[in-house]
Amino acid sequence: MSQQAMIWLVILVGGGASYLFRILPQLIWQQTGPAAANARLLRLFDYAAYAVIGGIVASSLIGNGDASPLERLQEPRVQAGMLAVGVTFMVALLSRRQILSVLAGLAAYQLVLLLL
Amino acid sequence: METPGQAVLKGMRDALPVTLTFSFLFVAVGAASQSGGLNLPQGLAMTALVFAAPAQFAAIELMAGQAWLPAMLAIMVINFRFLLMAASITPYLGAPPRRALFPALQMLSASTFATTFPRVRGGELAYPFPFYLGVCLGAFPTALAGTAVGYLVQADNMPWLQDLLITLLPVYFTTFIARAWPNTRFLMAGLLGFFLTPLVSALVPGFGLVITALLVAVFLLVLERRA
Repeated sequence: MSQQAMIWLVILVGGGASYLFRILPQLIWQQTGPAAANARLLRLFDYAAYAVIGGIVASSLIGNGDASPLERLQEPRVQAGMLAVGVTFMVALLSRRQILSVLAGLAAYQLVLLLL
Repeated sequence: METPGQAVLKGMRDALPVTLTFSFLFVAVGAASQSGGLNLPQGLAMTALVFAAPAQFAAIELMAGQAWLPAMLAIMVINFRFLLMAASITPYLGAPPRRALFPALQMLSASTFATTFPRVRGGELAYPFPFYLGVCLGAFPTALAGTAVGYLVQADNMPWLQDLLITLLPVYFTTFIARAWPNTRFLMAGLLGFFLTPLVSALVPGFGLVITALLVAVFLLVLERRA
């Protein structure tokens, strides 16, 4: 098979699998009844969802590259990002204002980068 | 009373940080596609079908070395997390017709999930599915346009701005965790996910997000039962 054909194969198989992951729960709910019918299952997914959001935040800050998390934490940009996330979290918790929290976090990020 | 159209607009507005970030992130994906040997239709098809920048970067790098099977596996492993995200979010999207829901689920990504889930779970929306569509409309076309621009143009002039916008996403998603307050268990789930995911990812590359989320969820469910 040519290189171009192999690239298409990767895209189609990878894309097909990704789509399957996206629709599989819905297909299962249709067979077994809605997840809402099972309060504990829904609760499990609620907790998992918040853990996923926390995980996405961490992964986008320190999850890239080949270095270990501890090694990545030594990098100034990662340190600035961690501080920005911390500032955002505290401001959001105290003020309950989303835009203000984001701006405070981004300002903290730039400030730390300037200082480091 | 909110209309479905207003819910779509609200979703697009909420997705603005995602739109901004994607406009830079997928320019980088497009540039990587070109240097990795993909043609423009392939780059666009990959963004449309895979729709996950980390999986795309990994696969493009592997395809450049003609490692076809590892490239397929990389996409599958990285995108396996969508299973958990879809399981979490679909019960809260209301009851849209299947012909609308199934195509819309193709646009589920980490960013569209994280923007939509806290809103729909909170029950504050009269039309959760149109809201989700609005979030996707802010993200998906931007990703496609960004891929095309990145493929066709050398857009690398403002690294500080790219850096700032890529920081925007984690900062923005942090506000969703904080908004879980006063529900301390959801807050705890978010924080545990934040601290444990990198560690578990280092132990089990590719599955850190999913494994951590499930472990945290089971832990909190057990804690809830004991309380």
